[in-house]
Amino acid sequence: MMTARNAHLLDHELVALIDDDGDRATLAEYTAHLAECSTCRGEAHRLRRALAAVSKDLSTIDVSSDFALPFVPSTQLVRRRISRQLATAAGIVAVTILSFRATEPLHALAQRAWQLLASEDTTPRIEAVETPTTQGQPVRPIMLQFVPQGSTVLIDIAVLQTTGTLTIRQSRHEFGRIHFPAAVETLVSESTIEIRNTPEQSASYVVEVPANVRTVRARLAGREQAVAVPQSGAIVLDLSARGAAR
Amino acid sequence: MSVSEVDAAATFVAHRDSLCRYLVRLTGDEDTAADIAQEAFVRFLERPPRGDRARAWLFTVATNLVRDAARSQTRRRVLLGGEGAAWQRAHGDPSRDPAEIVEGMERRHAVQTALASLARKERVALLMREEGFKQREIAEALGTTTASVGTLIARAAHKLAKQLNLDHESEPQ
Repeated sequence: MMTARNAHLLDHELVALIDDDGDRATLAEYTAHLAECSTCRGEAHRLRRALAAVSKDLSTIDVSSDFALPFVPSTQLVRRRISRQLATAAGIVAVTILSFRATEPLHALAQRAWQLLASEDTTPRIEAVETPTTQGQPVRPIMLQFVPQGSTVLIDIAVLQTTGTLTIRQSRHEFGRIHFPAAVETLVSESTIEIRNTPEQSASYVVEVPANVRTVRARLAGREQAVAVPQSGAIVLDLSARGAAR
Repeated sequence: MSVSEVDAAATFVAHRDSLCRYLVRLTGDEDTAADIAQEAFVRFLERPPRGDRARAWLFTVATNLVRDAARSQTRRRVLLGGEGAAWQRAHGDPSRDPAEIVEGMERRHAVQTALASLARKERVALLMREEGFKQREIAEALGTTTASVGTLIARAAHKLAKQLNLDHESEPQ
């Protein structure tokens, strides 16, 4: 049987007990003390209530539904990487010169440094910023950001669905975004959004395009139409087989 | 994007919601939170931590970025001032009852103000605990001892409960 200690429990011990944060033997010792000490029992009760109440109130502060991480221009990532590589290359050149006492021609050293700089992939990227949660948690819509290369964006939706809509509106950002359900496979590249849906799906999609995009080409089950992007409000296209037939 | 960067991005995305929620609560401003989360992401891509320390690493880096941002004059106007766009966005939700929106905004504002009144370490310790971190991990992020973290959490909880008039003083039945 665990022997209860005489000294009162300290704050971090009470927190550990409440959060079940520690090894079994230590927590058992705290529990045994609590059973015999009314002072600590009262303190633990107060702290547990305070933490629960605070936790409940903190839940009022959460990210809003339209929260999105800002887009990082690929040039910024490339620049930061090149800065790091330059520093590395400079270090290698210096060490090489010292090691070989400059017996190697300098242009060969420069060439080696340049090869190091060019060795990593620095192509522009598209950032995925949302993903579905799993393990029984509610699945949130996925949001992807993209940067159109021209003034037109093509949205290619494979087939008509049971129900669903495509909403097109102007983005408040300098980049575009698409929101879509996790169950739908979507490919996003510069200026093209390919939605690989199925006829059984009841899914809706929201595409936001930056101000420089004037027109969206919506290709629905192979039939294409041009949609002028409104400066305010949104265009909503019916994706259901019944609606599209009207 | 290289394979390691894809892995890093997937890891980041797995912890993104928790990190952003933590940052919104810590800074009181969604835009600042978004900027800092993104900067943490960029650093994560550049130098992914080894092993299974990714989550703690991200929170530690983000916490340090918030501290650095709070030191700059331009950020100070935004941080914890309650003037951020976070609760203003609630106006734009037509499906909610206006009275409910106002009540929610007021409560949120009160909680944010109470949070802002805490010392930085108290706030970080309380909010990281809220995201499920152990005292040992919080201690690493704050550069302090586990015992200090427990004290910080307890003190912060009691302060907040008192400021927010939460009933936590009653004796156990």
